[in-house]
Order: sequence, then C-alpha cells, then structure tokens
Amino acid sequence: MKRQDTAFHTRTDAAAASQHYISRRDFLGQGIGLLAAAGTVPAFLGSTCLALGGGGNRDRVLVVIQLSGGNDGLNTVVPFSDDAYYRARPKLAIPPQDVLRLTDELGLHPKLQPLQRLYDRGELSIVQGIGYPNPDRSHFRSIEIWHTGVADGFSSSGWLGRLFDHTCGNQHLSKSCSPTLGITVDKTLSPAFAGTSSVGIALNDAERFYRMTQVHTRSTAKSAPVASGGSQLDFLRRTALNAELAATDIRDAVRSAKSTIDYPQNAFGNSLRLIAEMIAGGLDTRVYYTSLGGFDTHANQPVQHGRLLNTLASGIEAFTQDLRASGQLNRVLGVTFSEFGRRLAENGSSGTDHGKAAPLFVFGSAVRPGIIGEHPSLSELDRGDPQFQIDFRRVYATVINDWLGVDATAVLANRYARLPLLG
Amino acid sequence: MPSTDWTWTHARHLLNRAGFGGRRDEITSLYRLGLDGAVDSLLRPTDRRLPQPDWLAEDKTDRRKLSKEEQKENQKLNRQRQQTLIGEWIISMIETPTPADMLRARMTFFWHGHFATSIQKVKTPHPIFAQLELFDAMAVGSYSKLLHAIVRDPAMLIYLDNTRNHRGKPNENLARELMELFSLGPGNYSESDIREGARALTGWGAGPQGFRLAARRHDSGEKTILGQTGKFDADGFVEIILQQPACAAFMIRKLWQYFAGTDPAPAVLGALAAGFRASDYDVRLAVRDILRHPKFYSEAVRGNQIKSPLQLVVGTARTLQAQVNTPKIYQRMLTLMGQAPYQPPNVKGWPSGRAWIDTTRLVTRYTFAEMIANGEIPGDVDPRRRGRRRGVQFDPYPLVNDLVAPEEIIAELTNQLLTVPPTDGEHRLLTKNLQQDLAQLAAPAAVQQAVGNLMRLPQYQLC
Repeated sequence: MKRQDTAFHTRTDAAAASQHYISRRDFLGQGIGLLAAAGTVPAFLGSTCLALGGGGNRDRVLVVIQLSGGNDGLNTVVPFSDDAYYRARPKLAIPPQDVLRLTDELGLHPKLQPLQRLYDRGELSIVQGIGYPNPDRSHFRSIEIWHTGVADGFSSSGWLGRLFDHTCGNQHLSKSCSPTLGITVDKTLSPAFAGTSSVGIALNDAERFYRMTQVHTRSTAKSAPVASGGSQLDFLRRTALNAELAATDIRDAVRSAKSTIDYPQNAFGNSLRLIAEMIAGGLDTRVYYTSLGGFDTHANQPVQHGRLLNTLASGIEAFTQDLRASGQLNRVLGVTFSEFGRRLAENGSSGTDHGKAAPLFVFGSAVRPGIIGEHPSLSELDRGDPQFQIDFRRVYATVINDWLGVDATAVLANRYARLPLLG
Repeated sequence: MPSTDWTWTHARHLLNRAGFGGRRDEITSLYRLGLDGAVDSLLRPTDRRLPQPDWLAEDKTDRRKLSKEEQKENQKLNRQRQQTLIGEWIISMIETPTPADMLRARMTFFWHGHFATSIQKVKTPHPIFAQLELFDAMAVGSYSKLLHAIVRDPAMLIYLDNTRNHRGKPNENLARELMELFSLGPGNYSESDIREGARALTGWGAGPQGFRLAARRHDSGEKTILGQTGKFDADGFVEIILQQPACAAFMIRKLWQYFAGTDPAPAVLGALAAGFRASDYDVRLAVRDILRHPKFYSEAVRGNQIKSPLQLVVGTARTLQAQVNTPKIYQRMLTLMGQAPYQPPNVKGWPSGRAWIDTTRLVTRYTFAEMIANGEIPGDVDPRRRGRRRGVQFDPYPLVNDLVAPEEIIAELTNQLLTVPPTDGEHRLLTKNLQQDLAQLAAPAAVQQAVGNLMRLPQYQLC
C-alpha cells in the first residue's frame, strides 16, 4: 500500500500541474534524451491543457458508466404504489414488501441496497424519465444517439469528443492537449470520445498497456527526433510518443495509488478499481468511461437483472468508499445511463422488450441528493412505453456546465435547460 | 506522366494504392509493363468469385414458426454465419492471386464503405452476402447500375429503414442518404427533395426471399424531385440523381480520396468528373484515369496516405504470405483498430486519414506487429486457450532470398515494405537489432523479428 496521502490531492491546481510537468520532464530526461536535446517538445507536454481549458473546473472528474443492452428502468426504480405496474408485470414486478423504499411511491430493486445506502448518505441523485424525442428501439441507433448527443441525423463526433475538441484545440494543428484527458476502461475507446483532438486512451490494465506502448522503442523512439511539423510522419511520431508517455503516466499513477478497498470480484469491479487508482494517482484525466453489459433481458429477467444490479451497486459503493478513503470523492461525479428502458408489459418469456424512457443515477458527494422529475405515467403510454420527460442532453449540459465548468451550448450545439443535480 | 519518368518506385506506389502493396516480383512485373500497361493489367481481374457459404442453398426458415428458444438458437447461428462470412471475405482479400484481383477487392471494399451497412442492424447473413456479391460483381462496373441496384438491395433497405417506408407514412432515411452520402453530397438537394424522394421509395422493401416491391405500400402519385415532376418510383428517383452534374464530381472526389489519400485539385476533379459523366459512369474508366494521372504520382501523394486498418492487416498478411489458424485473429485486430468489416461507425462509413490513428489504435498496430514477429497476440495467455492459441506464421525467406548480411537484409526489407524510408538512425538500429538477433536466434526467427521491428516504425503506417 503506497497510496499518497490526501494532502497531495488538496494542493492547488497550479502546484499539481507543475508537479506533473516535473515528473514528465524527468521521464523525458531519462527516457528520451534525444528529444529534449533536439529541443522539440512532444505535443501534449508543451500544452497548458492539463485541465479542460478556458476556465473549466480543473480538478473535477466525471465518471460515465454505460449500462449496455437497455436497462429495465421500471424494475430499477420501482413505482411500487402504482397498480398499473403490477397489472402489467404479473411475473416480473418487484413485490411491494421487497422494494427498498425511498418515498411513498418509489423505491429501489432489492439488489440495489448499496445504492440505497448512498442515497441515505446524500450521495445519490435519481433522474427519472430520461430519453429523447422520437425514440429508436434499436440498440445500435439508440446507443449512437447517446454517444453523439445528436438524435436527428448522425454525427461523426461524440459528445465527449466535442467537449475535448472545444476545450483543447486541435492536435492536428499541433496545438494539442493531453491524450489522457479522457480514458475509457475497455478494449476500445468509447465512440462518445470521437473527435478531432485525438484525446482518449482505452485500456483495461495499466501494466499491460504500458508494455504494449514500449515495444516500438526497439525500433524508433530513441533514434528518431519527434518533429513538431505537420507531415503525416510527424503526426505519427507525436502520437506514438504521446501513447508512450501517457502509458508511463498511467502506470506510475496506478502504482502510486494502489487501492486497498475490497471490490466485488468481477470485471466491472476491476474497472472501477482501476479508475479509482488513476484518480488517486493524480492523472490529469477529467472523464473516465466504462461499461457494464448484459441488460438486454428479453428472457428470464429476474435472476440476470438482479445479478447485474448487484454488480452495479456494489461496484459503485466500493468505488465511492475507495474515493472517500483517498480523499477524492468530492471531486468525482458519476453518472450511469442505458440506451433505453424497457416496455412496461412483460413478455411471454419472463423478460421485457426494448422500450424508451428510463431513470439514471448520479452519484458523488457533490450531488444534490434526491429524485428529479416525476415517475413517467404508466397510463399514458407511447405504444406500450412510458414516455420520456427529461431529454438526456439536459444531463449532459448539466455535467458539462455545472460540473466541468465548460460552456455546454458550444459542445451540444443547442441550449438545454440544466438540472439541479449538484448540491 | 511521360513514360521515361516511370520507375520501379512508381510501380510500388501504384501497387500500394490500387492493391494492398506487393512483393518484389509483383512490383517488378508491373514496372516492366510501363504505366499504361500496368494500369490496364490491374483492371483485368481473374474470374474468381467470393467464397460461397455452404448455407446459401438452405431453406430460409420462417421465423414466425419458431419457438422462442429456437429463435434464440437461430439468432446465434445467424451471427456466427455473418462472422464466418466476414472472416472468409478477409481471407479471400489476403489470398488474391493477382494485383488485378487486389484492385477488385479494394473496390469491393470501397463500395462497402460507400454504401455502408452494418450487421448490428441487418441481423441475417443472406442479405449481407447478397450485398457483398453485388459489390464484388460490380466492383469496377457501372456506377449507375450500382445505384439502381442499391435501392433494391435488401441489406440496404433494411439498414436504412426503407422496409418501413410506406405510402402515407414515409420514412426519409434512405432518401436522405441516397443523395447526401451515396451520390450528390450535401448542398445539392433540398429538404423537399428528400420528402418527395422518400415517397418515390415507398414500398421498396425486403422479405425473406430478398427484394420485395409492395405495390400497395407504394405512393404512385406525382412527386417533384430536383425540379422534375412525375409519378416517379425508386428507379425514377435514381435516374434524376444521375442526371445531376454534382453526382460525377461527388463520386470522383471520393474515389480520388480513396486512392490518392488527398483532395483532388479543382482542375483534376473537373476533368475526371466530365469523363466519368460522359462515359455514363463507367467506374473502370474513372479508376483508370485516376491511376494514370500524373498528380497521382506527385510528391504530395506518394507515401502520404495513412494506411487504413484493412490496408495494414490485409497488406501485411498478403505480402508476408502469412498463415493463420483462424481468420478471427484478423477480425479482432481490425475491430480494435477501428475497421471491423460490416460494422462501420455509422451510415457515413469510415472516416479516413488521421482519423484512423489515436494513441490506443496506434498501440493496437504495434500489437499487430508483435503478432507478426512472434506468431501470436502478445498477452493472449488466457489459460483456457493455452495449447490452442490463435497464431500466425510466415516464412521470411521469400522476402530476403539468399541475402545474409544484416545491412543487406534490412535494406531489402525496407525497400519492399516501406514507402517512406527510415531515418539513418532507425536504419542503424534495425540493423543492430538484427545482428543481435542473428547471434541468438535461428536466421528465419531473426528476420521475422526484423520484420516486426520494421512494422513498428511510424513509416510502416504510411503508403
């Protein structure tokens, strides 16, 4: 256990930034001396973009958790006082006595006990009836809409990619920023990170990612200068060096901040542990992204859904405990989402089919605890689905503006009314 | 370009771009034909067909008769068949016998990217294979015939929701993309043209047996599309599109970008587009004109294209004549590098150039180099898979023949495999590493390492 003490993390941003520079310069000096000698500074070392630029809130971190497959919102936040719910789901409804009650009308799935504890601590907010106009029941199209933040037509950039582009300039013009500003803990980068500024690292394992970036040094890094020009070759050399340095930073951060908290032993728990270690290790990352799959519960939903919700909730609880122990919780905001909710009526195989609106969770010590929005009506349905009430881009706008301190209108190309998510 | 300017290096460039690169003997054969002869030879593919899946002759099961469990099994089978189909397609690109077959494969993939369709939405294998055969058959055929074919292509009709485009309840998805992405480009039509075009497309759908025209769902009334009024159907709509001057220019720009990796200069675009239109959209002529164009051989073009994942993976595997125990090894690499066939990011297909590269994808490209050098995916040590790991093998001997001196081997490898030469420092390092490896390993293994080292140079990402 070599976690740094919390004093490290409460230093001013400027001090944190210069510390960061020093460690990278040290690495440069030892590892790639030729570079320094050649006087060319790798793209992201030369940048001041350690935080989201333009007056953003430099020390804040957003963690996005994607629940892939379409989470059944009605069995997640349960309207246990509504007869329509029990009528539509004779097999799947959660019995009133099992619901973890939050209000006289709403409660959580029994497997969400860890989230109930978070709620009781005032660290959980629930936003109800999230969706978008003219919903699409295809996983593919719907997740694309969530990734891009564009519901009518398509976009080649993701909402987080545009956030990075907007705040960091454009690496292709060699005015870049750190590629570690956004990290996806997965095999590939989340499409939400797609943009022009080449921000974003995808990894599952810091040591393995480090090893992979080092292999090319056998051929090139120490023997060729990293030029700052605009040629394709310069662009590739810069990207290679960025990967190498980012991997070094990530590995060092994780090594310096090994977690001692028990996480549930599954891939999702491991992902959250890695994120907690990266946060505590002092990386410049502002957005972490990870996902939990399997929510497409067309059949035999009760067991599978319960297991997934337990994985989700116990993972999040361990994560917040970890962040509290490392003194990081106040600078981290977590948001869950799923591409759509599920139909009100259960189907013939103890499952539910693709639907529309669903609730999402926001957690962290900075949230304004409680429930935002009314539970969607179960009598006024849109072709069998509860209708959406809050556009998901209002959540995006809120976290971009009020949490990360960046102008959301520029990123979302539209003005969305913000939600009272933060305390 | 004057025939006296034609060099071996130009022939290598031609093969890099028209195909997936090639071995020394292939480059030399092309070089000996001269520029015009070389380009003409590339446009004469063998009559090879795509591998035919064994399930093609099967009855298409009617899903309505299946129980839930059977449906689930069926879905699983469909997914497996799609993946197998894609794997075999990749292998067929790697095993292209001639450079002309490579160009045909490159054009088949061009049409896939242009008329992008995804197995994430089209969930059965038959429409995917039918579309692939269409692109393969018409790879360098008539673009106008292809555009007529695409509005009756089941996979496209499913992918862009035209199966739900009914009289009185139009779905505009296909109408919009038909003009915006497939033929004219933004700015050359209005929202009203989309609405009216969608009416022309109503009723053109797909069923289990393929294309199905539902007359009851077709809106046979009068429409006004791009200034013309009449009782147009899908073919009428396509004809109007083909009459627009913007169409040839849009397609030539896209083809030029595909082969040259840059935007065409206005004069080049104008001349090529005029020829394309005059030929009634003969793709063979357009490709010939591009590959013979002096600007295609300019400094700004040569060595300046970032290889797509497909160019990298297929090109490497083909040039090295690598053998794999399963094509999944390539599918996994392409997925991680961002170009899984039949899984484009959206209907626009794949963005190219620098969009192929980010830190993570570049690291994946190194992983691929590791795999080539060491025979397996590094870190692929799942104990359950031990003993039956996915692997790749190649014989380095044909690349270097009887050369023994490390300097000569490196010079030969860089000459064949790189368009942009390594720096002196990189060259020295490659040589030094090979010397060390030759002292410790058998010669083939050492040369294999040298190939892997060379593939980790940033230059290897360019062609």
